[in-house]
Amino acid sequence: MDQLLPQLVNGLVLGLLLFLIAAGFSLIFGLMDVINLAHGSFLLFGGYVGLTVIRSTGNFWLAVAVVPLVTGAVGLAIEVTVLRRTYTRGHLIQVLLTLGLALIAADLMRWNWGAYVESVDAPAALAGLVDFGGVFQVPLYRLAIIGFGLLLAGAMWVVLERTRLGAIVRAGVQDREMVAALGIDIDKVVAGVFALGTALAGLSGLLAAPVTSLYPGLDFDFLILALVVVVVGGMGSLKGAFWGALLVGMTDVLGKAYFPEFSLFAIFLIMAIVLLVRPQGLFGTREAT
Amino acid sequence: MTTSVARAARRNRWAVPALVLALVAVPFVLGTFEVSLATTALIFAVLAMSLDLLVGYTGLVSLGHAAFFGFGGYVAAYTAIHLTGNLLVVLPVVAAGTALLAVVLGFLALRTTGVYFLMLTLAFGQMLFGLAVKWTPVTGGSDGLAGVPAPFVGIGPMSYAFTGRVRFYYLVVVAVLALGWFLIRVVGSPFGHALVGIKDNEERLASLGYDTWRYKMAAYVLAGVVAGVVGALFVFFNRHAAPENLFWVVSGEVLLMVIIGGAGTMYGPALGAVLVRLFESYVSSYTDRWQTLLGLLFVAFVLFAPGGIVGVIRRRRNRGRAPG
Amino acid sequence: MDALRVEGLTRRFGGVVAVHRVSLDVAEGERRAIIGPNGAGKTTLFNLVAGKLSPSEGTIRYRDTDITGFAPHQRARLGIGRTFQRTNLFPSLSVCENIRLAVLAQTDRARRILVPVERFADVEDRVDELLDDFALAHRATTEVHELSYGEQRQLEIALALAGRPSLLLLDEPTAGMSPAETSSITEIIAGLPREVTLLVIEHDMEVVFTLADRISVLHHGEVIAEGTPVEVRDDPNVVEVYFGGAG
Repeated sequence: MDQLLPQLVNGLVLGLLLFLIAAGFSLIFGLMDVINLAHGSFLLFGGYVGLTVIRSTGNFWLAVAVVPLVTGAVGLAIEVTVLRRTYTRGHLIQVLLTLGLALIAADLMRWNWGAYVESVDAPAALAGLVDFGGVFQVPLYRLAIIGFGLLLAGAMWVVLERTRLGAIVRAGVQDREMVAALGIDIDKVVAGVFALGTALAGLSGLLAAPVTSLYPGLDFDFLILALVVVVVGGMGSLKGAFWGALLVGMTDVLGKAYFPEFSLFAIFLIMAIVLLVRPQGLFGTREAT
Repeated sequence: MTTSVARAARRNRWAVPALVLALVAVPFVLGTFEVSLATTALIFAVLAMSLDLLVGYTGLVSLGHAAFFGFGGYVAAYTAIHLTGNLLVVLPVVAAGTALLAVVLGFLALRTTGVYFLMLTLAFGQMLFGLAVKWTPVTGGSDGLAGVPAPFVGIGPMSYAFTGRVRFYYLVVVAVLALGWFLIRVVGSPFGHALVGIKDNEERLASLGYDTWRYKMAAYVLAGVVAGVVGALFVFFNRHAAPENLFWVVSGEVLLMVIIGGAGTMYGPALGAVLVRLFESYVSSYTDRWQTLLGLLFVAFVLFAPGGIVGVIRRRRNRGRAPG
Repeated sequence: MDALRVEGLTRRFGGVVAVHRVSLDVAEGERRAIIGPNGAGKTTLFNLVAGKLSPSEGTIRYRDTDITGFAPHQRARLGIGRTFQRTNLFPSLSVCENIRLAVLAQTDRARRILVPVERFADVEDRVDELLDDFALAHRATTEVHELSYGEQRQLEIALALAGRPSLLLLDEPTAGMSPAETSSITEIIAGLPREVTLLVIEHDMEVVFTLADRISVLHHGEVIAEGTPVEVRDDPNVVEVYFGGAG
């Protein structure tokens, strides 16, 4: 059982990383009704861009600044040029479009960054281990992720619940036409949220890199976890993304520690239970239809 | 839509004999490489048709069809390695196994519709992929199960083994014609029309007295079993069950074949599958970036021709027919 | 025996009570109209009877069966047919395929998976009969989105009648129709066999007075009056809440 505490910390780390990923994904769905299957691609892309910046400058913090700008800009460009054409044409077309983009992105990233596992070092300032009373040790970087994740969750909550912009976004999640009728340029709000969501995805890819390393396939590994998080937590709900992410993160880490072959099965089980008991997700309000 | 298939079939009464003749002729006319290419193209044609039963007819867009394709392959490999390569044993085992898997997954996934259904099927497929990679003692881990023996039918000296590319090709031709015929019959049947009714308007269908849940489940299981059977053939073709057969890219590719060919037409997705396989084979001899090109092609179809090739042809024909 | 007996039916949406302790007894073969101002709870009541919604309280009996917990398809198989307020057809099928789907619904042949759909002679006879009855024979192979609005409404009713229901729920059958279309639909409904029990929501009072044996008036989710058309027309309560708004 002396393994349990460090595993719980690892679960918290993965949970907060998943929150960063799922929050953007869920917000984009809530506002735009778009299931962005390329969300994981933005994440891996962010990780790789960070890798390149770190390799060429040796500066992790520069990467933290550059990555969200790059992935957010790419996201914005895709929203404006391609995605926007599909809003009037139904969910399926949008999902298929993002699937096509994910296929392309996976191939191009393998081309540019190779098919090997690339590890990324944590920044020097956050290297080292923190000792918990001689009982167990946790890398400082992982604690920093916990802190950053909680900070960002708080910040997103404040922005969404306490600012005018947040009110517009929340109103847009409920009813886009209503917001448009108030004279707000909903197209700009949508584009902004998409850019923000993809920027967040890129940043979380970079932050995850020292923990998970980067490899082709990480895009869909994380996309699946994000899907599970929003299915469990409920679509379009920040609170749902937060608690769903913690639950899935904990399950994944504990599952891997105790039943390595069946860790995915533990997640499957949680998802199955939620679907059977509460199909709209723990904090979801709309029906899963 | 289905009667228009029947109408088209009456109009082109020579189409089926011509197709059979062409398929039989392939090994006489073309080389070994082309025979192998044709074998996989035919396997994917039926896989795409089985997905079309869900996507184009029932309106259930699954992004996890590789789960059945890959699972069927693993069941076949495991049975062939540990028990027997006799297809009369292997294929029923595969059918029963994939049916069971489809019932379990369908029980959960069919509680949702639309994009939720798509997400869940994707998640289930990736979970099976993860299981295949990690459960090494049974699945062989990331290496998969190699050393799958050649399949055969019959008993003892009365048996016939499908060794060699050409024999195997003919086995696939027989299977593909049988399964293709089966699926086309299904969509023209009362059951098939009920599936279209579900896609169009599930609530109305229920108000007419259809237990739509059971119809969706039946369609999901049927599509899963057909996918599992061709997955078994694919594994026998490669003599190897690989986890990649379960990967989301395969599900995405099959969905792409359905969309490119024209969802809801059966022969469209088959055509789409053959074209995509030919495209991959042709393009990959020039560039490694065939997946990017395929993705671009997909995006182009989604944006500009969501009805697929068959949709484009129909629109052309209707425009030609309309009074000027 | 009553065809339909609704007792103490209540349906709440969150804090809003849409239908409040509604009781109805509709006799076998009776033609009952439900009227009431917009928002009176007519459609909610209708959806409760058809099984689209489940009640918060109360029971629904059809003939001798308590159907309160039955799914819509189970009610349909017992002989309850319905139409929808907004046209609700199968757009990728032709007119004849729409009707065939409805005719097959009541038979176990609907589950046949390898027989061509048009193989059953008795089903085809019934399809032809319905096509003739609803003057749609010349449109049999037309896709339904090419039909005129009036024709779509006719098809809508044909679908509901295909399975020979003994209780037919009609949700505003003449909504959005021209006067000519309205009178032709009214004629079709009036010409239905008398043994079919009808429950009709309708705004057009002329249609209501033509069709209904009895009328129930719904207001704020409650039945405020019930009786023959003449009784209801003269009921001061009804005049007050329903017709009074105009005067």
